Amino acid sequence: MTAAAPLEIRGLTKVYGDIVAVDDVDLTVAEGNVYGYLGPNGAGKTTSLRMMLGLIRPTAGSVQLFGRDPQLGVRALEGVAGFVEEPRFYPYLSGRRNLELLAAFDGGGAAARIDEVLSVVELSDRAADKVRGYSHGMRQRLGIAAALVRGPRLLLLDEPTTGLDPAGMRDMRALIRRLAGGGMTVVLSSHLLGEVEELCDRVAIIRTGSVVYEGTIAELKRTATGAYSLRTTDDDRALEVCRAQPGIVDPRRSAGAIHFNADEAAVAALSAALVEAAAAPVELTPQAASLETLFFRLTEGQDGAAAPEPVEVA
Amino acid sequence: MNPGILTVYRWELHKLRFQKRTYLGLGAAAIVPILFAIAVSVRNGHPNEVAFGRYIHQTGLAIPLVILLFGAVWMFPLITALVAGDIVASEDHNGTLKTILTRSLERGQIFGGKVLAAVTYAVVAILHAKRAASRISSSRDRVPALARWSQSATSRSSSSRAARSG
Repeated sequence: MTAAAPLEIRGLTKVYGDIVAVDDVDLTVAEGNVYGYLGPNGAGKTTSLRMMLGLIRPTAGSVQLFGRDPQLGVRALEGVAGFVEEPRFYPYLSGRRNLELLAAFDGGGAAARIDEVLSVVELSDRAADKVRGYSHGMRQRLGIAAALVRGPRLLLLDEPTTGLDPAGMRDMRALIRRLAGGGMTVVLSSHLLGEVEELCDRVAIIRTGSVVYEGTIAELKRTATGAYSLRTTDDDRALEVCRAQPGIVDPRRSAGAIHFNADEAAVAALSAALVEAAAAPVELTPQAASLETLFFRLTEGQDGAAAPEPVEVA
Repeated sequence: MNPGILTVYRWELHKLRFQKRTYLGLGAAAIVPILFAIAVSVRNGHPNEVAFGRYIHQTGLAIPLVILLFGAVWMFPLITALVAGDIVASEDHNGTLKTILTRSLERGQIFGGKVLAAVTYAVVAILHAKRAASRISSSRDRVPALARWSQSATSRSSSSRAARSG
């Protein structure tokens, strides 16, 4: 028997007046994945997550959580927990009381998990204090605890590390890794490439509501165009080869080397061509953090011209 | 146990217990009859237009009756509306609406629980007002000074009326 995927999104669209906040998004998150939903601020990440949790109605398209549509009722959220924007609580109640309230709203065995989840997020000591006095990091951790109390199999987190100090970020990432290690499926949105690279095994990059890349991080790295520098036994001849070679962008000589931009496949083809042309490479070095460059190209490209086609990765 | 309207209701009452404005509301409900009694005492004559108003200077027992009738017609809907509005608006203000809508309760159940809590609060507020009114009425009957003061207020107003007509 093949169980339904934890999260399956088809043609998801949300339009506010003239603004298309989310535009025809397709993605599938498989069991056990840690899935990154990456994009700059205002790209439509939170709007998408709202629709995933059934908080707002999509203009078009569908969301399926373990095969159930959250629009049809709250039963679809069984086994699903998370938060959008930042987790919010009743400031005049203690952290524990807040969890007790939410556990009561969950039913089942949620109330029995309170002590456990408080210790998982390391809030046991402060659980009796009113949430009013909590720091941003503590609220964020209480948010994770509130999600875990449901005993979820799928966790949807909206920018869980935003606003945390470096130590808080590190702890939050360690916590997410620990949860994922325990077999939980996690979808997290982020505007930080490094974070997604560190935590996730698959990623969807979105820009102004559309997915511009969907696939594994490893594939993304492979398609990343980066700057390279090249020295060969015969640079004049090598420059000619570079100009003739497809996929080699803007080859030029400077400072005793040839510089160009290319993706990994083109670089591999180039080395073969160089050897064939008797201009054997002496040094072929990637120059920049190419993934970062790709991310900026994907998310900051102007409409139309510079925006690359969505890359389909099997 | 599966959560339902009663779960929401119980927790709404719990939340009300922990909020300062709950007590401000109850305090206001208790002050209304006091103001009412004072107003009646210094007003010209007695409020005929209010049910039982005619008896208000004869016996303090009329005050709770007047307050209850007044409350049932005016205060009850007003307080219910205020509390019901606040009980939902504060969830939005705190951002907690999103938190509770992603649990295992349908929106209708959350709404139902809140309505019950608002009605309960209004009933409690009315009872508060009634109790305050009873206190005033009994103390007015018991303390002669107060009765005399209100009578003199009445005669003062009637003598001024007589002066005006003469």
